[in-house]
Amino acid sequence: MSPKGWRKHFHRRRRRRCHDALSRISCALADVPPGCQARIVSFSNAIPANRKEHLQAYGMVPGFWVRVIQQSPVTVIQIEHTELALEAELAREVQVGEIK
Amino acid sequence: MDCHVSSNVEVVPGNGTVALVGQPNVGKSVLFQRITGSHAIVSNYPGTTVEVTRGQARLLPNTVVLDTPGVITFPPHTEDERVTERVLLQEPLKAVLQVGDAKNLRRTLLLTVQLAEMGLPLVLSLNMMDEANARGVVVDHTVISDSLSLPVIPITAIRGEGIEELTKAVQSAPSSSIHINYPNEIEFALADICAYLPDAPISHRALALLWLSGDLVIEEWLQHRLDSNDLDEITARRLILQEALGKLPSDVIQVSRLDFVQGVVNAALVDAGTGWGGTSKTVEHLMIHPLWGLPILAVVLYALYWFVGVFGAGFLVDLIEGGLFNQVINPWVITWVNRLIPIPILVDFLVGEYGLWTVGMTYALALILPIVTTFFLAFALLEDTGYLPRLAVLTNRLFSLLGLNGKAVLPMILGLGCVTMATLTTRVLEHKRERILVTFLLALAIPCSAQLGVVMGMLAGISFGATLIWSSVLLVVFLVVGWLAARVVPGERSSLLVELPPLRWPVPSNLIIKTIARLEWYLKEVIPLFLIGTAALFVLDRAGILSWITNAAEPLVTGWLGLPAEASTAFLMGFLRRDFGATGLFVMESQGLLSPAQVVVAMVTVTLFVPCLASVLMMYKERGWRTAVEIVLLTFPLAFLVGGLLYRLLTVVGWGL
Repeated sequence: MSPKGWRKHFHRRRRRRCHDALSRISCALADVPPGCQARIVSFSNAIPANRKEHLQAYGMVPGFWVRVIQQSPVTVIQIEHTELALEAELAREVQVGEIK
Repeated sequence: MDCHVSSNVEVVPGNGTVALVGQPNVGKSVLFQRITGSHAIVSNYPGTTVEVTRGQARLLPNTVVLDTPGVITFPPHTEDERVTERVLLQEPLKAVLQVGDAKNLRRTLLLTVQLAEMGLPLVLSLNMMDEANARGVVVDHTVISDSLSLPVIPITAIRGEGIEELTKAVQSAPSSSIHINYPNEIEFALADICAYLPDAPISHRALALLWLSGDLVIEEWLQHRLDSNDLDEITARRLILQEALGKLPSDVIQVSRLDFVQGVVNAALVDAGTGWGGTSKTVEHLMIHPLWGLPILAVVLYALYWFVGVFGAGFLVDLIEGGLFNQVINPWVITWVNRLIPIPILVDFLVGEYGLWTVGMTYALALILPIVTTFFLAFALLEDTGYLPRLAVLTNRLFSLLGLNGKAVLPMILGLGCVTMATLTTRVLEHKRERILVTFLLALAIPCSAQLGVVMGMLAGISFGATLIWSSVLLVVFLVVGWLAARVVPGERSSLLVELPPLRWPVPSNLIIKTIARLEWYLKEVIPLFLIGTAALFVLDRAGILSWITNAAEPLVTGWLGLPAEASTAFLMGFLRRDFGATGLFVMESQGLLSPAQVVVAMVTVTLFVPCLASVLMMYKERGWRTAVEIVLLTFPLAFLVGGLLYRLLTVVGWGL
């Protein structure tokens, strides 16, 4: 396959992965497949207050989009032009809505 | 003081102090260096600038510039952030210069509005414009300037662009005056609380907002200035607010600020830029890849070992100790001391067996200094490239077994250079529990470079298997005891949250400045204690106490550890000077007094044994005498226990007898 062909193939596969994830009812940041963008909906109550403040200070705020880069060994996301690494334990407490 | 007006601070012309404030990884220290041209620790790993650095501004007359630790947002959560807040509260400031990352506008402005509400003269510099341009991020800084009523200057500190304009802006900065409207409940609470607040360098509105957000530094500050009745009043008012809102006031306040900031960002961000690719991005992702991250780590560790162990401990030490000191300097010193000083005991004190110069100073300068210098240089390289946070990501799972998170890797790696400095660096960890656990593990199972050099030299002289046994035993002890300790020390584990800065080429001058700063600290704090340790050994030897200890410890050393009785002096020496313990045994081994198994057992015991005098004192300074004593009392028997068990194990297996 030509390089362009590979890229198209990859994007198609990614969109399908994201779409599958979207069909789940409640979705946490930890469930978002790498390469997808997710819109933050809320933080669960289990999250410690100082962690929540930090995440919000970086821009992870309900209503905004973040891009998930990888989920293993830790969750790595991109907000604006910052990359943040957080444990799955934390990522599970962040609820997301739409995924694309 | 009216709580609805933010600005109430007069601009002081001419003399004064300017504070550099900003989030971590934005280039504050680079800018500091540009403005002052003086030495400062430059780092992009949060928490390394634990002390506030001062310098004279080159281009501004009579102005001192203060470089503060990075702060993500107020209220502060780490020791570093608390230091920054105290600077804003307590230093008489002429202006605040916020350094912001131009490509991360939203989080930069979130801090800007907090600083602006404080009412001090404020200038915002948008740094790293080069990186923003590379990513296609275009910001209209005049829009920001108009919306927030403060000067906004785009700069690239590392290239020196925009510095002159920035300096001019700082000289004539007006007091900041912005007004964010919070929900009514909060505004009412602010008005009520402001009535009680004393005069302060920052605006009452900002003070009250921080109070409502539960800021502990502000609480402490107010406790010294308000009587208990007033304190009760404002505490009660905060509680009432919380009940009325149904959630934490800090939450609501932050959301209001975010709304305001988003409005400014929407107007000012002409182009948000694209996700960028390129080789450095690929390398960044490989470094923390679950599969590829480990081989890369192995390469990094090997390079570290080669540079510090082979080049530093081998080549450099041979050159300096073997060549310079042993052949040139020391014979000269010994001759002259013998000539000038008639008192034999004094001669011995200076150049004898435990001589202050021949042993104390020579070892400090010829053996330890080269090793520690190469280590600090390598560590600075790891910091400046941005590899350390990625290392935290890779080691996170391992540390979570020990009740810690990946951030603990920073003091642990630094401990391989100097355990004393690493104990000081535990300040970067957020919770007291983490600091105690890491301090304990540092004292127990992390050998410092002074010790590593000698230990590895000795073990390598026997066989690779010996080194393998030694390192495996250490690793097992580290994991097992760490796991147990995590269960005993009370408190919760904090999960990892760390920023991954872009991989950057290190600036050589920064590396050198950082290394020199650390070396200066080392020379001032640790070396004197080395000399005291040497002097103490001399006294003990003369007073016959050394031989008394040898006899008293004989059953333990011979019976349990299977070593000759003289080894006990080596252990005592190891307390006073970590490398001494190992060298004492080295001497015994070269005289053919020790079998390979005995060498390994001795090395293991010496490594696990109490850390040197300098680090015990640092433990006392950082954690208090009680924790320090507890740690010493734990490591002592543990070292001997493991040593003895190892001896028995090796006997049973029949290795190296």
